[in-house]
Amino acid sequence: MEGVSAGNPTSGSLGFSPGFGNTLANMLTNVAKYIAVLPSITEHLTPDHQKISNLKIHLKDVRDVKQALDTLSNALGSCIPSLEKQFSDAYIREHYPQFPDEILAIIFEFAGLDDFGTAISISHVCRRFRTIALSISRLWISIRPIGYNRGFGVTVEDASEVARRSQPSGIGLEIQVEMYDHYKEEQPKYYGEYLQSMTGFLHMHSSRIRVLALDIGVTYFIRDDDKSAFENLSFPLLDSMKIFSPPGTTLQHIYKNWNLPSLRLLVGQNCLPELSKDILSKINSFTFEVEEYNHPDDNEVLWLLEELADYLVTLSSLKELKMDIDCDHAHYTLPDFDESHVKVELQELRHLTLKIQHTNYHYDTIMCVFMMFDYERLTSLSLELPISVLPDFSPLFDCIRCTSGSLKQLDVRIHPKVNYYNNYRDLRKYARERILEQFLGVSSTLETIYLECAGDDRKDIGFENRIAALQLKNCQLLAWTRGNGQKPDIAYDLEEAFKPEAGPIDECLVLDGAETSPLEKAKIIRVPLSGKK
Amino acid sequence: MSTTEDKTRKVKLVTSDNEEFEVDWEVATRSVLIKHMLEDIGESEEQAIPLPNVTANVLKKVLEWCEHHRKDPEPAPESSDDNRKRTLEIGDWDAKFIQVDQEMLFEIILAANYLDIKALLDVGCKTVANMIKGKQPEEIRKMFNIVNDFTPEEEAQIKKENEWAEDR
Repeated sequence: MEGVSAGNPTSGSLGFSPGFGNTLANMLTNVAKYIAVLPSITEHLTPDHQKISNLKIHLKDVRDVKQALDTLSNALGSCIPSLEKQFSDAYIREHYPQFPDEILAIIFEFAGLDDFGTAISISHVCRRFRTIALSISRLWISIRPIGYNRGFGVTVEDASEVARRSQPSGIGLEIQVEMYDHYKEEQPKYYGEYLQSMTGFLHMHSSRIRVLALDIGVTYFIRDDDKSAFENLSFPLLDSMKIFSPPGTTLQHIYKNWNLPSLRLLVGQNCLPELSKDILSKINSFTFEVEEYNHPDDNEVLWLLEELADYLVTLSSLKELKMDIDCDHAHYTLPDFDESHVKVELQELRHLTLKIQHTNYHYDTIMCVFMMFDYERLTSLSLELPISVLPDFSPLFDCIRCTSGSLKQLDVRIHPKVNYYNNYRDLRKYARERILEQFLGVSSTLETIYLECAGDDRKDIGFENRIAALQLKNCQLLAWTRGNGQKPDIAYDLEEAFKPEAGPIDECLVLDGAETSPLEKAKIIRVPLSGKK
Repeated sequence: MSTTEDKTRKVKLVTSDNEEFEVDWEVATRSVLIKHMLEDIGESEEQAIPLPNVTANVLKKVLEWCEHHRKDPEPAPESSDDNRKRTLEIGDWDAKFIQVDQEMLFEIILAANYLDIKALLDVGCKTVANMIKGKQPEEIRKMFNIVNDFTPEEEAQIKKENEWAEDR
């Protein structure tokens, strides 16, 4: 080709100018058409020596073309992403700053969502960005002041400045009061100073605080002089509070006299928050979480099931309860369980979530937890269980009696252990069948069932094709029976429909009973697996 | 509230490059702007709606989104904006839909803003927000080709404010 020069070729030196693509593409299309008919052209050539001669030329032609196309394909493969990247970068630089302020405000709000660092970064880019960012109240309502100048939050002094930014909007503040590092042997005086400043901050913004998380590990260091001011705070708008106690901490419920007329959502992490009976009786949603650190020495969380049950009874308006606990015998004082075992009567309870941790799994203790509740009035039930529960599936689910038809949503997730040895192969299908038989066959008002086992590459919950979850929508309309019509079992039909595939293992098979032909309309979606640890 | 008659009705839209699209009323009225224009025109009119700020290739893409979301609930009124669920998550279909080059993304965002399709605007803005998230001010300046126009005094003040974040 003319114009080819040695060294690094340019488009000009190769005889191309920008815009050549369309011409070349047309030419290649014509080449493709010609090559496609070549075999039929050569087929009827005679005599053979003539045919051989022609075929030699054609074969050379098509091989030359193929080689060139392979080279071209490789070049395109590396060129296109590089050009696309350059195009993207240049386009963003050139055009995105031209977005009107109202669009940038939406972008900034999403970017800074629960991400104080990004919100701060945006506000430090330039004057325009700063003006827009500071005008978005929602970016400045979630504040985690700390006791030091550096760490995972803002200083108490800066927190006031941040709180002022969202003041005109009237949106409530979300505040977190916590220590920087529970294990760091800092001098108590820093905590004292921090709490003194925080008390001032909380007092100053008390009428705006809507959500508060308090680490009662810090209250140990409160100075006597500051105690009274801290103990007598009032939060008229506070509707959500989390009390967190680091494991091994001496509990000091220094907040227990606070005036909290609007409090409805309460979380106790490693403790049962102490509040007046009047406040507790208005709580709609309560979460009790136990989070012990990996090293058990001095990190045990002291709680008893009986105490928890007594506490729950005081929550007479409770509609939603979440428990995330372990089965260690230390928390369960009763050696035997029977019908007279610990029970809680919660007339208003409609949503129950039980998450049982892997640590020290015991059949007798988990039974105590399952036997605590009356399931008849529930509209939703979520269970997150360790894989060790599989052999005990039947007696556990016998505890869950829902004959009234009020239960609409059932969510069961089995969490496999890391590197566990699979002892449960024989039980894997049984677990799924047990759930479907109990809830799909009898309770015809149930609307959705979600079953998940994140480690289903080991097929613990029963699918042979690595599907990790099964979601049944409108399952009150699903009326499948297996062969002899005795048991509802979707699995056999599904396994036929979804042959084994070595695909991703975070897929969920979704069937909708509202479809005229649910099995044909079944689809697979990706789901965020909760138990993938 | 849409009527049965509305659902069978067709709407003509004309783009800035004079291309005409005929779409179902239910699809077109995902756009609050078009919905209001249709209300102004009245039901008996067969008049085409001019969209001078949207080109044909962008409208085609926007209508693809509207078609997929035609059955979605009506957008919430302006006053309930603060109650809109704030999350950076994008649904599976939307995530695939928005995998376009930056030029198209830019145009979709502008079109969604002009046509007043809040849910589509959110999808586009979330995509750009994800590009910014976690970046330091200098990285954002470089990304958007923005000059730092703070005075040295302002810069010092801001740096102080930023001290904790730099140590993250």
